[in-house]
Amino acid sequence: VRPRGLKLLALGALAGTLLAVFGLVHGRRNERSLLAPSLIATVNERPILRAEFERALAMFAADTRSAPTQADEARILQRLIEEEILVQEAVAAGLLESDRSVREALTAALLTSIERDGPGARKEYVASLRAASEVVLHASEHQ
Amino acid sequence: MVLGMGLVSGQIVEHRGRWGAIQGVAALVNGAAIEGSAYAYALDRARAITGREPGAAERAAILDRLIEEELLVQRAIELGVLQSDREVRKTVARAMLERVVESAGRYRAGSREVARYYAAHAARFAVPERTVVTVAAFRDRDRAGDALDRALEVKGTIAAGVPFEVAIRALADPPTIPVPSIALTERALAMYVGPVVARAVGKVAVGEVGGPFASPAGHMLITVRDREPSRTPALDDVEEQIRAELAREAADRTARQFFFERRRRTQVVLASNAPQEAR
Repeated sequence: VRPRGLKLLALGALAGTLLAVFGLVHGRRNERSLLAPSLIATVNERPILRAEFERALAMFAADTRSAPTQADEARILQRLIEEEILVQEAVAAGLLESDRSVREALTAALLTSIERDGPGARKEYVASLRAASEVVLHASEHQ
Repeated sequence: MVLGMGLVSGQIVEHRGRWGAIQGVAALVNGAAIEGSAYAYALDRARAITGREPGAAERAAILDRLIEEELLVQRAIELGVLQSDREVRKTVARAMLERVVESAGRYRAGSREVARYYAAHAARFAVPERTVVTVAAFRDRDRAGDALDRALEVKGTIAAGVPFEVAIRALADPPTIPVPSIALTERALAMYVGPVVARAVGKVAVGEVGGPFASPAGHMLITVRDREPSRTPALDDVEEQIRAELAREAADRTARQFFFERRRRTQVVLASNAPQEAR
């Protein structure tokens, strides 16, 4: 290999190393990519829907009676991203199992849609859930 | 050896020896534990409400409710409620944020910090000026503009020495919303007479009559009965309020730090047309 070729190889290796380091340093920052048109962002691969973002913008406009500026839009998207981070952290921290308010919110959301089907719907729904589930009782509590 | 009994798809089966390894668990629902502590808490609540020890049937019903809740929670998660329901997401996010802030411990500022804050932000604690007023309303009766004429006539009568109440008796109309005879801030007064008139009342001296002020309902004469000037409370009076404010600021710092750290290890991908500065 001629000296000129060696020089080029060295430059190529250096460029590659720099790119790799840049990737490591900045790899976790916001990336821009061609997401599906229905998405405005993903957070650890979990989607934030564009419709959700637009709904938040509409709510902002209704509250402030003015169209959101670019800075407002960025802030609103940031809040949605932070909310997703919190939700993911909550799942990891076991809040779905341990936090009363969270459990109440989950059951309330489900029951609200079930009870639209009539007053007996809840009982029927729970019965079918039980039939499809394994429930094991502690001996001292089994009746 | 502790024995367990199981109910599978509505059928009772035995799970011998299983519970030996699962201490402090009241039931398992699709493998998820209902902790004994959660059951004990529910029993305590029942005791607090009824004032007596729950019987066997009540204990069973309480455990049954916890099982039902667990089934519903599992189903809600399965159906993606956590992703799709706004209220649920808000509740979950709030609960997580509270946990983050709590984990940092409740901040209690020392006396020096409280004093420094008071010195820097005393105006924030100022109690605004408050005024006691009586309002006479005038609406057009026979022709357009006669409300203003009557208001001016009353004002002239008052200027001639007739007391306000006497002067308005025949010529004023009942106010749309009566203003209470208590000291009101400008903001509170604005709820009754509108912001422009409320501001103008601030320039009327005690004992004087201001107006006629135009309003959508006609005209108003307002006499100022009393005025309590704006004052800044002593540090002792607002010490706890300042501590609460400093605790809130500390909680904000904790939350910001949390987001800063999490964002560094979170992969966020934005759509190419997303707002530029969503970081």
